[in-house]
Amino acid sequence: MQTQAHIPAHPAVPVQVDDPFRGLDVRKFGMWTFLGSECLIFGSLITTALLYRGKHDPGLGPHDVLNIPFTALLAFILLLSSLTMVLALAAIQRGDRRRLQLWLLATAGLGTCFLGGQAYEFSKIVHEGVTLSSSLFGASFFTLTGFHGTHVFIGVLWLLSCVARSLTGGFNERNYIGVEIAGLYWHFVDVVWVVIFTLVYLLAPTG
Amino acid sequence: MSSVHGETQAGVHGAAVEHHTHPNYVGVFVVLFVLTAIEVGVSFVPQLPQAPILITLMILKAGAVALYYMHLKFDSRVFSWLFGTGLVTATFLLISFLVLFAHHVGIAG
Amino acid sequence: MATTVITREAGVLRLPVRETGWLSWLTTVNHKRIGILYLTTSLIFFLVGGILALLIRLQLAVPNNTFLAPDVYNQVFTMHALIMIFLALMPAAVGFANFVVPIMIGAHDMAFPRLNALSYWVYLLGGILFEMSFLPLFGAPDAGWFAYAPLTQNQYSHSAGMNFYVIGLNVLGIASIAGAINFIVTILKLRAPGMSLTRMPLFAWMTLVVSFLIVFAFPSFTIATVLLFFDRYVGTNFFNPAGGGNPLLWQHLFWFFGHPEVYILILPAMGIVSEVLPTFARKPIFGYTFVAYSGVAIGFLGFTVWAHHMFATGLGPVANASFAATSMLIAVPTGVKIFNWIGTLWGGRLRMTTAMLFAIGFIAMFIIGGISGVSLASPPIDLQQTDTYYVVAHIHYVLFGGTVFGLMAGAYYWFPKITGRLMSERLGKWHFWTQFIGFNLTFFPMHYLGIEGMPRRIYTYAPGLGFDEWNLVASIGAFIMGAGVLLFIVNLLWSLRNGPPAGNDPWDGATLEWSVPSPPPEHNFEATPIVYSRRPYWDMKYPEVAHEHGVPAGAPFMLHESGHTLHLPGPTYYPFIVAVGIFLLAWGLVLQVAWPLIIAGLAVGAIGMLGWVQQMAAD
Repeated sequence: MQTQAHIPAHPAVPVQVDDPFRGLDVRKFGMWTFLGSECLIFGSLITTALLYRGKHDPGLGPHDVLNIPFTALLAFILLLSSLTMVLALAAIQRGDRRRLQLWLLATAGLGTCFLGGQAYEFSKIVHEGVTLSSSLFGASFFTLTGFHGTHVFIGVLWLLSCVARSLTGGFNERNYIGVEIAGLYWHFVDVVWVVIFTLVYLLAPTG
Repeated sequence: MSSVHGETQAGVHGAAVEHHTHPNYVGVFVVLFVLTAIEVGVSFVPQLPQAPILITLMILKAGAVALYYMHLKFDSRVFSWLFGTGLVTATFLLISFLVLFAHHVGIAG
Repeated sequence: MATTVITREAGVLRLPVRETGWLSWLTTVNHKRIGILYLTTSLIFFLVGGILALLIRLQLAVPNNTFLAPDVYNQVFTMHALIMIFLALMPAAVGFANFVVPIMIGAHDMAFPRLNALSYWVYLLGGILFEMSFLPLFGAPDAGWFAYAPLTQNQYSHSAGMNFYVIGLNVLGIASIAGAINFIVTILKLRAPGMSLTRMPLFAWMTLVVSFLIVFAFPSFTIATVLLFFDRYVGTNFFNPAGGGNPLLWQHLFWFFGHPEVYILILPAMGIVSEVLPTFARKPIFGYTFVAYSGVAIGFLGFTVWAHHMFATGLGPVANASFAATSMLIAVPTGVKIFNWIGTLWGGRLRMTTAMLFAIGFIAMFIIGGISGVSLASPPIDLQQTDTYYVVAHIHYVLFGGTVFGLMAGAYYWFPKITGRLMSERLGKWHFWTQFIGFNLTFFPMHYLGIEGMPRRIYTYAPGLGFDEWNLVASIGAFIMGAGVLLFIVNLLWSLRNGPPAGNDPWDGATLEWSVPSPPPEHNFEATPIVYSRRPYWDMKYPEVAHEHGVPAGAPFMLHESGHTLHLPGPTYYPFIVAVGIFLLAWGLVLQVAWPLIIAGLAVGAIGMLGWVQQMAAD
């Protein structure tokens, strides 16, 4: 609240000690609300993918074209990037700008590796004959993973802009909310991949 | 952004107090690594009941990232409610759609 | 006293910013100006949607009419609904919320003023994009506002109309979601000291609930339109049965959004009524807690009823029964509100101003709409009623008799606050009765027409089926309604110039917006108010009475913030620039992926965002 810190000491003035919204940064609040909304975006896409995963040409179903070991590697990469992201935040909370930049670059780098790996996997799947328009499995798979990949891409750009801002002294141990919010977005994108990896890749129907 | 500056001070002050207790981030990653490895392993053993095990592991992993990396465990309940509502609604959409499509009768039915 | 620091424009484009003149409206980030922009724009779109309605009624006035060709008729009724819902009713509610809610909660502006401006410009440009679909070069969307698949596939909808639908509605969705996040954070974070959620005005409560509905309901529609986009542009078959797709996936995704959408449309009007009734009954709202929490309940339950729009698609008995049960259940919190409003009127010393007439008219009309809704919630009855004029009657009783009447009440109630002048009560009474009579003449017969079997969305009907007389009556009624709306416009324009000065508190109001001058100064309050009850301004005006209700004697009503600086963003071009970028990008996508426009849009948007981010850093 704008002026809660300055409430006069009159005994009658109510001080909302039990107001749960006190002291919450408005931008963090906005980001969490946005992430709540994003749950529905990916929920709808995942639902569509689950509904249509059986609709494929013979021999070109999820079990046939999806490379679990490779995708597991990508999953590890993304999880690792969440670690580096939270280490970046911890660094700037200590006031360590160098470590912040290093960990941010590491996160962006891992994100880029993920994207590269996705691009590689997609090209192989397309090569085998599964495309956006070849079957409903292809359509829903690529739409879902494409949306996720776009989110990762935007995240990488965001992280790089954080690095740029940090180089000009934009963050310090008292002012790091921008890094925290970028981190929340990044971790969310990771969580979505955790769900996609399990539901779409690992739980793909056999045969 | 009228409250951001005042808020940042208060928020940061509060946050600084909270973040004196950093969880073991690397430890959490090890857990995530192990859980993912188990998931992949289970997926190669078709005799095991895939869906219950894998979904449980998925929830544990997502929960770990949300609670520890996204700090939901240490932050205000408000954020958990905001995110949780989205999560619950999305899950509701998923399950109800899967059920509705599985049991669709059709006009001729 | 607080000193206010206004941050100046920083970043890539260091253009001079005007404080006055029409250019100042382009760069404003002030919630009151943005509210006025929303209200004015939504009114213009309302008139456009109304003209489309009159065209429909002209075509249907007599059987076998040839006034509108069938394909034109399809565009007219589709756009009538889309314009009314997305360009008129929703933005009007947002306009009132923008202007009033920050003042009601004792704040100086919204939490994110620049994002607020962005929401408006994206709405305006998105609306213009939409309207341009009427140009003969393109063709407007023509598959109904609900756009059922597979009619929307390329082979059946050749014109660019559905492209406008897909892209235009997503653009508007951006504006809505951004606005919703803004309201959620503002209402939860920026309330004055002492204003707990249970002391907050009910219009603010409903705005909060609606904002959550927008945040959680719009995404499934976003995805539905994205999938349709791929079907049309890339050749996927998400909704195309010929390719293995399921058209019902569209319906489920659409209605999962579409049903909460109707609560997004009605709850603000309910909030307005909850403000107007106590003021003119001169007693507090009856059962404040019930009214507030029933709004929450309606919002929550609104997510569980969507397939009642699909009873005729063969869901199966279990699904039918479940959705019937939840749909009937939602009548309970709605009924709770109605009884509380009646309880507010009971025993009050009623002042029948125009605003009050519209509020009472809302209750009566909404009850009728609600009752027809209950019958539609029963699958066996719905099987006959669905896709007939019975549903048209229902939706207009709740959306016009409900939402529009509520918004009109808000107009008469808050016009003095916004402009500093009172609207003419004489013209207002004429407006109300003309509109009331015209409305009922138009839509009441439609219940009968539906039961007699007249289908919806038909461009004409054969004579002798029993539809002739009542269609003519409905068409005459529509023009009487139009006359009523005209009277409203006349009243607005006349009052803007000649209305008597209103002063800050023409109605002896209880909420904080009445405590500031009309129109309010730039940052609303000189000093932040302190709140002790649900009726903070009454407490300030009548301290003896306030004392009887527990407000401590001698308690300060204002916070004196010496040395405290208030940081608010100053006027800026960047939200407008980002909106232009989105507009160009949208056109690029509508025109079957015109890459130059897409790249231009992304570039302009990026420049805007860059400047915006730099400005945020400079704050």
